[in-house]
Amino acid sequence: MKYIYKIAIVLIASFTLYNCTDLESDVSDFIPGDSYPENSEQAIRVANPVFTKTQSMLDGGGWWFLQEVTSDEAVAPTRGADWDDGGKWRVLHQHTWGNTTEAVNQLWGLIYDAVPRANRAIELLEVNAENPEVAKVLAQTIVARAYYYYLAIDNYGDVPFPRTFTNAEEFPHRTPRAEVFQTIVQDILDNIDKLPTPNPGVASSSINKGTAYALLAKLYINAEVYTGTPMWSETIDACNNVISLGYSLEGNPLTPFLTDNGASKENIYTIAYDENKFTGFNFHMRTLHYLSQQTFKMSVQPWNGFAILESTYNLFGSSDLRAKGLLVGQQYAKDGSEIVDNVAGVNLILTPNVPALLMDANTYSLNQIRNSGVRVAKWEIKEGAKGNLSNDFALFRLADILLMKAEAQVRLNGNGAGDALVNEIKLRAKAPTTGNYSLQDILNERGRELLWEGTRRQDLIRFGKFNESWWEKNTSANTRNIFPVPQFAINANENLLPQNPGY
Amino acid sequence: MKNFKFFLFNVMLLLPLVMFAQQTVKGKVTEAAGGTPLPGVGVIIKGTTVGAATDFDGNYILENVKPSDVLVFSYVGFNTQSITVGTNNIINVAMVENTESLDEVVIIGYGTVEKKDKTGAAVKVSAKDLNQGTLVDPIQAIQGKAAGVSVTKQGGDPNSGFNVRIRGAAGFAAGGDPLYVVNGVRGVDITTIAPEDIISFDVLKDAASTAIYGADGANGVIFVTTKSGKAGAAKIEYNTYLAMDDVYKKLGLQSAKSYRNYIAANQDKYGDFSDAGGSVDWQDEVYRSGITINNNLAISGGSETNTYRASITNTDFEGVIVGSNKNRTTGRLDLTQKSFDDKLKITMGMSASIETNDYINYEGNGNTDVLFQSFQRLPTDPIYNSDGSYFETSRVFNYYNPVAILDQIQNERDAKKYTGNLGFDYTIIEGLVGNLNLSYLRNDSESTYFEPKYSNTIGTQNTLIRTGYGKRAYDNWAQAMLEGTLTYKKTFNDVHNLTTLAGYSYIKQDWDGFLAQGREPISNSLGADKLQNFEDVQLGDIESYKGERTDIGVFGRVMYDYDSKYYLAGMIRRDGSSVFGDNNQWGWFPSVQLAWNMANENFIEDNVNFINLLKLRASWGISGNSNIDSYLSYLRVGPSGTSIDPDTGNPIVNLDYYNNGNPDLKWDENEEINLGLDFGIFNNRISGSVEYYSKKITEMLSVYDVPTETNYAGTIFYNGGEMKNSGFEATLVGKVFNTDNFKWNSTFTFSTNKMEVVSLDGGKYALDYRDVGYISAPGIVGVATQRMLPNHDLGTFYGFDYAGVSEDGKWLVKGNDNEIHYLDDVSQSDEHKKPIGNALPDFEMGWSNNFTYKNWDLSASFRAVVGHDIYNATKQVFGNPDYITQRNVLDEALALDGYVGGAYQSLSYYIEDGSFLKLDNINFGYTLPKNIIKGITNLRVYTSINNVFTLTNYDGIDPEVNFSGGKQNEGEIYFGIDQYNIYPKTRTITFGINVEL
Repeated sequence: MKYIYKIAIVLIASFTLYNCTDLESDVSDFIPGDSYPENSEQAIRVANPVFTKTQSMLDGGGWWFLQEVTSDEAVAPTRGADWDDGGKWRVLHQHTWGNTTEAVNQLWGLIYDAVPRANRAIELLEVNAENPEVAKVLAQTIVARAYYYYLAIDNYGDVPFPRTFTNAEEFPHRTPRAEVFQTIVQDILDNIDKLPTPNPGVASSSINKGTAYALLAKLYINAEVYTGTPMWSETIDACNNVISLGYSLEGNPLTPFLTDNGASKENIYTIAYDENKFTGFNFHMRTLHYLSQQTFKMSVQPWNGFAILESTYNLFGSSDLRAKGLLVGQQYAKDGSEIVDNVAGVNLILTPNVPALLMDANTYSLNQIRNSGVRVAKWEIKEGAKGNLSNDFALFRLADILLMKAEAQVRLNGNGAGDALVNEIKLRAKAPTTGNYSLQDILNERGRELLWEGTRRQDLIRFGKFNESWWEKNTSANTRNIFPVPQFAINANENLLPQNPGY
Repeated sequence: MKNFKFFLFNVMLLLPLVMFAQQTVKGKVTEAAGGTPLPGVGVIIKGTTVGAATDFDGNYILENVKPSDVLVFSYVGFNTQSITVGTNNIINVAMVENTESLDEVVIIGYGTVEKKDKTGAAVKVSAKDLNQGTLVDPIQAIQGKAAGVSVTKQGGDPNSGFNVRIRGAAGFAAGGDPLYVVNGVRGVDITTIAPEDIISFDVLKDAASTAIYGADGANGVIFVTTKSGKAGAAKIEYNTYLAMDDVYKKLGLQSAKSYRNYIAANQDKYGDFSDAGGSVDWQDEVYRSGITINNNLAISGGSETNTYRASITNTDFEGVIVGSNKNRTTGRLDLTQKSFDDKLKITMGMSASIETNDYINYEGNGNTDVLFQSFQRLPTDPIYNSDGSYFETSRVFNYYNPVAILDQIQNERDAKKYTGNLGFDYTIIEGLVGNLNLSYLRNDSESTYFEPKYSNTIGTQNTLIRTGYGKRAYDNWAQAMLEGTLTYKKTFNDVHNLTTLAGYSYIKQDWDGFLAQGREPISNSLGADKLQNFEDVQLGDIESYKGERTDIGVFGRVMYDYDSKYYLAGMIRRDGSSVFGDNNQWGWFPSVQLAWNMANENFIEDNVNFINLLKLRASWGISGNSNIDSYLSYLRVGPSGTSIDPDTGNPIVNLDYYNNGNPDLKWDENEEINLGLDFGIFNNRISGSVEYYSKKITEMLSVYDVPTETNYAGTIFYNGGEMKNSGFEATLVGKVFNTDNFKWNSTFTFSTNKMEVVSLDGGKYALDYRDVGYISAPGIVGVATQRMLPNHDLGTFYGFDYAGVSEDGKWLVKGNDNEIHYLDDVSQSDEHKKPIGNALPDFEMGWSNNFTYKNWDLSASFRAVVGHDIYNATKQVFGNPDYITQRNVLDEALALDGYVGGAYQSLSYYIEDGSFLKLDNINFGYTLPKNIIKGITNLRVYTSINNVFTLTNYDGIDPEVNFSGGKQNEGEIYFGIDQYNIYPKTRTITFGINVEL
């Protein structure tokens, strides 16, 4: 009897004393932050997200929407019950966005997702900077950071500008646009020599000397917007530096946009999309008619949304090879038969005219709602395309650099000073050449050549046209030339106040 | 003083009797009903420890008994009888089973108290009061039965469970589910218990009671007790039923005829409508009558020293949407053994549950979502082409034949759940009991999903509709628990009753899982059974996870009462959990309870003798909610999608930061004051209780945006929110009629619960509001309908205030400037949005009635929920006139057509009152008179209807829409949105038989 009692006590005691207060919880399926990176191989990998955050620029990162849907060349009309999306596209078109507009939030999120990772990677890489591979990645990371800050000042004006991770202010204030400009230009200049030399014709999306000079050219050409002081001759120098690296125009203006365009000699800095491995390029889904699935024998049904403005369509002459990237008129299935839109009871004929930004079913016919607007197939849509394209998307491209150089020449020396370069672009496209090109001519040429490539907002601002009225859009205040700091960022950090004027 | 005199008088009376000679008494104890002998009945001489127990035949013998002695016959589950020996040498006793007696004990966690002595807000619902008929989930049995315990279910999917919220428990990042304790084992999934095996539910509601469960107590505690064997011959129970389930209400979409008529009447406008020539009610095509079959067999029995009960149950549920099925088999075995002079009691329990599920997709508006697809599909589109293949067309994006979807998609799960527990109760010295409880739970499941590759003719072209996708997944979870307590119970001087408890609890959970998936199958027949079949497999298509969690608690409780008049109880728990941050791993959870039973005061006993119980209670306590994911306090790095090496273009795995670390992370803290009154009058014929509570929930865990400019990740888990809850609860139980032939028992419950957000931010990370309750549909993307807003109730609908329609056919709204605006003009601005409703009810009521007349029994359970708003997004979507000719629509769309177009914002026009009254269950049974059929002790046949009717003004298919809070993103909670994703509610008619041998 007694011993049972003793055994019970011992049992209870031993159970309770064993791990009595040890709140153990093994870490299994993640690496605790303080033991990362675990080795030098991972240290280089820390930088990888910095390079690949560009992946979301065309969709969830908001960048493309802010550059194009706010401009006079892309429109996302409300088509009956579709594409209203609470008016989030309409506010972009009409320049009435606010500090909670989705795309405004998204781009800020993208930039400041990349920046702290860059700062962290730079700190980790600096430790082993004598290793040449590490030194190269370090220089690339610094230039990549400069690229994100370029996006930041271009879109938001004065921005928080942390350049270290460990000692960064927890709640940083904003740094004036001009000061960020000066610093990142210097960062690029300091690192350009350590970057690899590009090898045009070999597929690569990594940051090299071409990227850095093209970025400098972009910064310089917009210097007046960013700092008040133009830098036209610096722009020309930077463009020359890019050109001297061996890039060349393709023979056909649409060749740089083929599915297999990774090795195009025209592309300087790209997002190397892949339909499976690096997704995010879905223009075809946004723009193509549902039934265009049959044109390209796609494995998914597209969304019948985005189009170009009629005025943009009218920029293209009838001989212009670049217009072959636009879908208009009767559409055909892969086998050549005419596609019939059974639902609207008509042949699928896409019209340049979009009757209204907001096409409600009460006022507009099914044919208008479904089939209006020219669609963009400038980037080749391969047979059997999936929900994402494998074409690389060029953020910097030689044709853009040539037109930038021409523009700087005209700005320095007057109309006609850029004719040779503009004609190079026009002749390739079989577009009529007139000569003595003005700034307006160059803007129009940029519109044709760089359609939907994400330069339009910046161009319109630089040419002083962003606040003008166009189809379904009134004149807007020049405070619209920068976006507001998103409310979510202010919630997290009140030091970002005051808000940009006009918001 | 008076009592003392009486005592003296008795002593004097009895003194002479001591002189009488001693004698031997023997007899037989039987069960009054049926007359079977009862073994193991305790027979003791009152006031002594001298006694005996009946043998297997119910016989006992006691020697040296004095005629003055009083024999006390006691047996669990039967009324205790006291008989004065007198001159009798043979005393035979027929014990009367007392179903009431089990009610008298309330579980309070690591112990029990008699109901009359409870000091906290505790409720018991016993088997006889439970809902009957077809129960998809055992918790359905207490729906509407306990005030403050809200048991709801959105829709009628047999594969989805009930939501249980006690006093509106809610967290932002933390969950709101109560803690379940089954036969002393924490964390058991109660769907693994057959309702037939349950004897009672006990619920602890106030923090002062749940503090004994510390950091796990804040959401309330539900104890489930299962039946155990009784000494005696083997008893066999067999229960079976057959049930038929039908859709209670369909969505009022157009028929082919009404659609065509409308188009014909508006030919000028809809001349371009293309009629595919079908006549289909798509809801009828995806709905069916579901048959449920249930069989439950239990065998129990035992001797004086050991008892057993084994049961096995199989239920096969057919959902009313084709393809949704559930089959569950559960087995239980419970054993008890007493030894060492009954000082050691060993309990053993084992259960296993095997469940297979066939799921269908219906949650969203995707290309395989059956409900959305069948709602939107035009009734004029046929099901099949003339060649027998499925008819597909391309009216709008994501427009696919739901019959084809049901036919093609395979979505299955096979879950196995095991429970084992072993308990030792050892009486060390009289009054001091040591308890050790060991348990192990394991839940494993495997899932298979396959969407075949599917192409069909659209127009004239063969078009790929689905590329094909398949996955298999394994999920495993296990919990080991060790709990030990020491309880000391003693009465001093007859009036000072003291119970003390000290305990220790250790719980370790482990989980892991695995998933592999691929796209583009080369063979539809191989499906996901052979994953090598998939040609498109990417990095990240193989996933796994693994983690663990440890929770440790040390606790103590002292309960004291003076003569069942004045009660004082205090308890404290020191709880720690590995899920908390390093700086806050341990917390204290104290509580105090006070009560005063006035009924035992002389001034009431002497003057108002119809009062049996009149007890005032007050309590204060702190409990916590640690119902959160593990590892949130860590700065975590891991694979996060894939990307490419920019130099080579080769895919690589991204290593990235998941969230920022927070070493201060802790539980949500719930401080609660509870005031209560328990009463019983007229010999407890009418009894009940009233409660008022006020809760302050502070340091609520949520997820906050941090300055992404300087942090690895954009978010941190941080304890920042604060809420205030208060409510009133009343329960009234009456034995309205209590004659031999006719009995009517009635229970009424009433509860209110108000939940107000005080603050969302912790000061450090500012957060003025959080938009929640997003709806989505074609044209509606990312539209929030609710806002968590300080100084407003939780569940506040937020959006535009409908103010009519303009002459040019546009929606008008009243802004915060009191001006009328075009909705389209202000739709993207926050400036003119405002609170436009609230999703939480003003009050809930339940009314249960049990009638018996001779051998007939009838029960009916009503439930009402009143004052909650519902955002009827189903109406907004399918009442959209813009859909006409492209999708099927509600009458609403026809009414709006030509008057105004679709609305794509959160608009008060779509908010409706969701108040309802339901007759949840009606049950009618007949018990055959005893012993009519030889060998059968009891035979009852019954029929039962669940969800008999719903009275409501709500326009949608069912007004019981998510009262318990849903989460779309971390840190959010929203309520009451009807978004075309509600599996239809059903009416179930059940026929059943209970047999006892």
